[in-house]
Amino acid sequence: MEYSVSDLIRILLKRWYVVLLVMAILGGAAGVLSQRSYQSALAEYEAYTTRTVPVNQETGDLVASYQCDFSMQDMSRYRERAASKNRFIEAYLAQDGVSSSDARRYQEAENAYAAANADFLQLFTQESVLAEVQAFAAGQGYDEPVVVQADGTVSEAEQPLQTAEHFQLELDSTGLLTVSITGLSEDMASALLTAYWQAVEEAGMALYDMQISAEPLTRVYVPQKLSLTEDAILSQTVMQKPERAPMFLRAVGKGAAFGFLFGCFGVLLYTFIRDTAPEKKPRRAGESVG
Amino acid sequence: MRQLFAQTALLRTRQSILSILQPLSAFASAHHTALIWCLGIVYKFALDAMYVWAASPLYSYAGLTFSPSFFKYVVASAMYFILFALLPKRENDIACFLMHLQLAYTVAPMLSFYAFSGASSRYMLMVFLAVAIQACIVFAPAAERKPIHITGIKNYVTVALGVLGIFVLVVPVLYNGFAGIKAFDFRYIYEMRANAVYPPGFGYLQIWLTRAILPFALLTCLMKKRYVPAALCVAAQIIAYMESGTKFELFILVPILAIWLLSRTGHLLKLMYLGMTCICVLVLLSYQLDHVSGAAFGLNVSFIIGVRAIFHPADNKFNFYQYFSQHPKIHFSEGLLGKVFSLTDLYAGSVGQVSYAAEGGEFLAANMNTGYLGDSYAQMGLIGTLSMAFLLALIVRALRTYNTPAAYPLLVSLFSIYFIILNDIALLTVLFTNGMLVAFLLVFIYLGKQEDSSNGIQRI
Repeated sequence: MEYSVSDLIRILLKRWYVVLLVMAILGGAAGVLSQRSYQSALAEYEAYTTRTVPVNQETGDLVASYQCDFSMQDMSRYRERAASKNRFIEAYLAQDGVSSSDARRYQEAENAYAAANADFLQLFTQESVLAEVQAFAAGQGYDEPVVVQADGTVSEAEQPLQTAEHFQLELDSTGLLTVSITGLSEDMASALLTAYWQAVEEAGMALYDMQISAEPLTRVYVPQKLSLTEDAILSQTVMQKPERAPMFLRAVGKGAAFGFLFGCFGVLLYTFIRDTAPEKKPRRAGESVG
Repeated sequence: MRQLFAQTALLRTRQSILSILQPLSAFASAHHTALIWCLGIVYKFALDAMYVWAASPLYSYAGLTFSPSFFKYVVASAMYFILFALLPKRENDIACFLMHLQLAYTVAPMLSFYAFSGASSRYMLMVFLAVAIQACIVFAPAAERKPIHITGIKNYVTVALGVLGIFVLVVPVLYNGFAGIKAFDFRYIYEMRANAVYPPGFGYLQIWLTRAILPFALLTCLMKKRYVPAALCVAAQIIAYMESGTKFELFILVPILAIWLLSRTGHLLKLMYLGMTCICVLVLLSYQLDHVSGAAFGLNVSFIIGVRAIFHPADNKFNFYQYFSQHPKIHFSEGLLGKVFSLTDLYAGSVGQVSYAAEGGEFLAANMNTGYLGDSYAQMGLIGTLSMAFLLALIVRALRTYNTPAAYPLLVSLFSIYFIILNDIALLTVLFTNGMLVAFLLVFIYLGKQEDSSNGIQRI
C-alpha cells in the first residue's frame, strides 16, 4: 500500500477529532497521574530510606553516678588485723621505757582507715558482688536482647543475660562511682542496678561490717538510636526525595502535546491496518452467514 | 590479453568454489530440519561448556558464579528446547531469523546462567513465558498484509540525509578535533569520550546516522552492487567512530557484513547457529590454552565475547530482577512515557546505575547494561516484561510484511543489529534513540516501488 505525504496529511485532517480526543484523554491522564506519581514517589522514598534494623525490644544505656561512703559501728576487725603489729611495737617501746603516745594511737587509727577504705573501694568490683547480680538476672530469667545486624542476620535468640558484658564500673579514690549498664532495656537496667546496690550493701556488711551509703548524683537512660538497614542506606544513595509535585496545568499541557503525536500516530496506524487488511473473499450467491 | 587471462582465472576459481559449495548447499537444503536441530542442540551444550570452563572461571568474582543445580539445569534445558521447537525454522524469513537470534543470543545465555549460578527461577519462568507468547504472536497464522510505503519523498529524503551525514561528520571535528589513528587505541578512546563536547541533541543525530542511516545506505549499495558508494559508507562509519570513540560504531560493521554475506547463501539460520557454536568453542579453547600462561589474547577473547557480550548481559538481567523485585519499579518515569505523563522519578540515577550500586558498585560511577527483558521488569514488573515482548512481537510482525527475497538480505542485516542491541538496551530506547524507528522510516520510504521523479528532484 502506498501513500504520498499529502495522503498522510489528508488522513490526519480527516480524523482531526480522533487526534483531539487522544489529546484530551492524554492531557487529563497526565494531570491525574502526575499528582499520583508524586505522592506515591514521596511515600516510597520515606518508606525505603527510613527502614531501621528490627529489634524485639528497645535497648539503651543507663549511666548513674553516686558519691559513695562507708561507716562502721564495730572496728574490731581492723583492730585485730593490726593487733599483732601493735603488740610488737608496744613491747619494743616498753623495753626502752617509752609508753605509747597519742600520736602513735592516731597513726594506728589512720592505718586502720586506710585498710578499711581499700576494702571499701574494692568492694564495688568484688567478684562476689558481680556474681550476686548475675544470680539475680538468672533468677529473673533475663535474656540477652535479640540483635538484628544491618545485613538482616539475627543473633541467637534466648541466650541467658551475661551481666558482666553489660556492666562498666568506674570508681575514683574519692568514692565517686559511675555505673554504666549498656545495651539493655530501661526496666532491666534499673532492676540490675538495684540488685547491684543490694549486693554491695550485703557484701559490705558480711565481709567488713561496713555500712555503705551512696548519694545519687546523676542518672541518665539513653535509648539506643535505631540503626538504618543496609538497604535503607543504599536507598538514601540511589533515591532522591521528590522536591515538589508537578504543576497540574503544565502536566496537562505536556500530556496534550504528546497526545497530538500519539493521536497522529494512532490515526495513521489505524488507517494502515485497515488499508492493508487482506481482502475478504466475495460470498457466493445463496451462502448464508453463520 | 592479460586482463582476459585474469578474468578466466577468476571465473575458474569461482567455479571451483561453487562446485564445492553447491553440493553442500543442496545437502543443507535437503536435510534442513535435521541440521538445524543438530546445530541448535550442539549450540546449547557449547554455550553451557563455555560458561563452565571459560566465562565462570574468568569472571566468577563479579557475578558469573558456579553453583550448579541439576533441577535447574533440567528446567533450563527443557525451556530452551521448548522455545527452539516453538520457533519455525524457515530460511529466508526475517521473523524466524530474528526470533532465533533472540533465542540464541539473549535467552539461551540466560538459561545457562540460570542453571549454573542458581539464579531466580521465578524470573527465568517470566522470561520464558514472555518469549513463548512473543513467538506465538509473531507466528500466529494470519492472512498476509500488504506492506506500507511512503512515496514521492525519496529524493528529498536522500538529499536531506546526505546533508545530515555531512553535518554529523563535520561538527565533532569542529568541536573536539580529530583523533585520527589514535582512535584505534582502545584505552585512549575513554579519554576521548570523557573530553568530548557536542551541541545539545547532537547525540541523537550521531546515533541515528551510525546505527540506521549509514548501515541502511551501505546495505542498499551492496544490494545494488554499487561497491564504491558502499566503501564510502564504510569509510564514513569508520570516520564517525574515529570522532566519537564509540566502539560499537566500528564493530557494527562486522555483523552487518557477515549477516549480509551469509544471508545470500540461503542458509543464514543454520549458519547463525553454526557460527555461534564456533564462537563458543573458540572462547573455550582460547581461555583453556591461555589462562595458565596468562597470555592476553585468550583472556581478551574470553572476556569480550564470553563475558561482556554473552553472559554479562544475562547476569545483569537477573540483577535487575533481584533489585526491582524488592524495590519500587520505575513505571517509565525516566523515559519518554515519564515525560508524557509528567511522572516523578524516584531514583537519582538511571536504572542501570541503580542496579550497579545495588550490586556494590559506586553509585553513578558506571552503568549496568541490560536488555529489554531486564529493563521492562524494572519498569513495570511482569506486566512490563509481557508488554515489551508484545510490542516487539508486533514490530517483528510488521517487519515481516516487507520480507521479499530481494529485500531479505538488507532487512535481516539491518534489523539483526537492533536485536543484538536489545540484549543491552531497553526496547523503547532502541526504538527512539538507537535508530530502529528511523530504520523503519527508511524501509517505508526506500523499499517501495521505484518511482519517477515527480517531486522536482531529478535522479543524477
